[in-house]
Amino acid sequence: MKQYVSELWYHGSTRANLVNVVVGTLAVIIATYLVYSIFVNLFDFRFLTGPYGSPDRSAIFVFLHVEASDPRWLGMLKGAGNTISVVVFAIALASLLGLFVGVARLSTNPILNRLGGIYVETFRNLPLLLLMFFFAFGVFRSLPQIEARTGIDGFFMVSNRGIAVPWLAGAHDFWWLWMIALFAGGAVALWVRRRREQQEDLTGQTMHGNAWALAIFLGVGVVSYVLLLFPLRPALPEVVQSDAGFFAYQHGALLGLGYISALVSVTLYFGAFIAEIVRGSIQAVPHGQVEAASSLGFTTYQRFTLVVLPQALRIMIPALNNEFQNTNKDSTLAHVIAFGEIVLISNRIVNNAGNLLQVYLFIFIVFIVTNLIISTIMNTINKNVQLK
Amino acid sequence: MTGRILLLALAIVAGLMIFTACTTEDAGDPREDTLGVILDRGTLVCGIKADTPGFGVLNPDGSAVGNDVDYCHALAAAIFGDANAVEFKEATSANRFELLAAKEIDVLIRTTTWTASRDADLNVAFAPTTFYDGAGIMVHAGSGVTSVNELGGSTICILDGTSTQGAVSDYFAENGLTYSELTLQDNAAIRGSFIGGQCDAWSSDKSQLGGHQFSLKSDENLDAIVLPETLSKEPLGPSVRDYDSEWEDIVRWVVNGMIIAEEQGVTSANVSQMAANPPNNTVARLLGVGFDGGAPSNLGIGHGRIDGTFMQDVISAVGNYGEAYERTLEAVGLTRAGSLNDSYVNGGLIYAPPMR
Repeated sequence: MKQYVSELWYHGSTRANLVNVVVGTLAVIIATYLVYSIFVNLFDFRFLTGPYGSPDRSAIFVFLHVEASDPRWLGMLKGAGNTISVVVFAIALASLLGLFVGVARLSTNPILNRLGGIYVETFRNLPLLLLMFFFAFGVFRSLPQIEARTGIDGFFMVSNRGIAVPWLAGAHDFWWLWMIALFAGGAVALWVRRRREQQEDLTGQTMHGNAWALAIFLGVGVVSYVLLLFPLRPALPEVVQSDAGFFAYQHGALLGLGYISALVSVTLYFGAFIAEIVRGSIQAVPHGQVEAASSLGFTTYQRFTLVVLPQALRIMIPALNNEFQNTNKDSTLAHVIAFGEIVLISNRIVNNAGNLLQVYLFIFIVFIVTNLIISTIMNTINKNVQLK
Repeated sequence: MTGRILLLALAIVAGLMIFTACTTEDAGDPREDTLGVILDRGTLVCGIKADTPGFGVLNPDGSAVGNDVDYCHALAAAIFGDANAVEFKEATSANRFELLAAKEIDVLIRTTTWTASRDADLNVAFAPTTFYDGAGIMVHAGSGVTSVNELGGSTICILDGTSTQGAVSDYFAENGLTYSELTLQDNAAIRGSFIGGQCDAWSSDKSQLGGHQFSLKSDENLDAIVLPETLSKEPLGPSVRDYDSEWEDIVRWVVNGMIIAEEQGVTSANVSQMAANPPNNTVARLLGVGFDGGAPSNLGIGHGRIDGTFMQDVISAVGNYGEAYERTLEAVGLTRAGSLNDSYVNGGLIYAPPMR
């Protein structure tokens, strides 16, 4: 018996199996506990239909303003909309800025070169949170008060309450039907263009695919605009004064303190990283390519746009994907500067109703979905620019 | 291969069995024993506010002052006979209930409003109110506004995550007024926005506004006025976790005891003399001593695990309700006489059930 036990113990696989059973048992206990506790706590979703309780009008678009009577689930959706409204513009602006600065850093012009270097080394090395505080409470607070605003009155107004710009306003409750019409028109136009291009490839006859597509899109847009009784009309911002003498912006789009600070700091911060990606990707294009283009008689501009940039794009897109996803995630820091993005809106719900797990699960889903969308877009672009 | 699958199955079955064994007990009996935990630890952990003069100011060395802090000291005195056997933790308006539910703190004494939704939805139970407050609105004196009803179309600064947000929203909706809200995360940011004109008005509990009004005048020479309307009821007091009525009773009766002590004229100066020679049965029961040579009555608070004479320790350490109020709140300009926080004898709301 003793010998049998000792043989079993010193047999290689026995002890390995024992470890497997112990570790496996522990893993199952922990996993079951996590799932169990989440389900016990997540069971109740009734709080979602309760009223949000207080208004938040820090969004730039009126349809994203959270009203006190909105149900909580609508408040969270609007919070997600606010996050998207800052991330989309920040990604676009940071990419433009990064492209410009990245190219400038490679320029032979010493001033452009140095300025680019100073910008990158400043903003890349500062915490994003600090930038947000700096712009919200340092820069924008010291702008003139709303009574003494600058800019062009009734068109573009700047004060420490925010920047008011002209925007579009729905003329009736069904203005969004026009958006659907535009979308449908765009889809039809793209389909027609593709059909005509295919025919052009087949027959060699010029089929004017782009012109047709443009004509269809504009035609659908104009006709539906008239049929829907001019659904969207330009709205100019104005400043109104209450009976007791308080000033407030009205109409147009208000880029409030929180929104503008978040947009500026996120753009400047990620612009610096994108500039470095752009610079590195351009430098990674073999020098022989530039020399070949020069010897073929390309101008500097042609050399850059036709030879260097297309090849640099192939290198930079996977890295840009990371930066864009970080932009999306780090936009949540804007909750500290009174911008009603998803975390701020959700934290208020947690504070009133206390359903932290459910609310944070929603935030997780929003970020996973939006980041996957960014990934999908970038991967599609990546596929198109790779060598085939 | 079969061996692998068998092992895996064995691991899953064992795991599930142990898990079931562990959880069935928990599910049937959610009671807690916070008092036992505190006694084992040797200190009370108290969640307080870190930056509000009068209620709670937490110093870098871990010491703290304020009215809320005094109730922490009172509880430590009741449990250990030592008012300093207490550790302070900062609880913010955003994390306070999580700190309590996660057992990071034993009791939350942090100007927290007792509301039905908090009581019902959160893992929190409220002890008696120690301060009756209400949301108010402060404006620049130069604005010429004399009533909240003139604030239509204004922008109001409010601290995020507070019940003030809901109070202002309700009041303005009921009165058909519109306003914009600028919600910031701390009082320093709000102060800057109020001074800089990013908001026209500042809303918070009136007790807080008084302090801010005072410091705006003294630091910035800026005149502000608190408008007369009170927008909400904000009863502030200590809170503990649900399902622990023994610990809740101790918190409840330490506060009640301090109120009764004031009614009976027992102060930190005369408590030992009162204990030696109680003037009446009420004082004798409060201090856990016998009246006129009789045996002390056992009220059963703490079920024998804390001393029957706990109120003697409390009163000699922090004094009665009025003494604590005067030392902390009166000092920052919150006048007690004639307010809701006056004793019921003088027409206020401070009233405790009998200790017998």
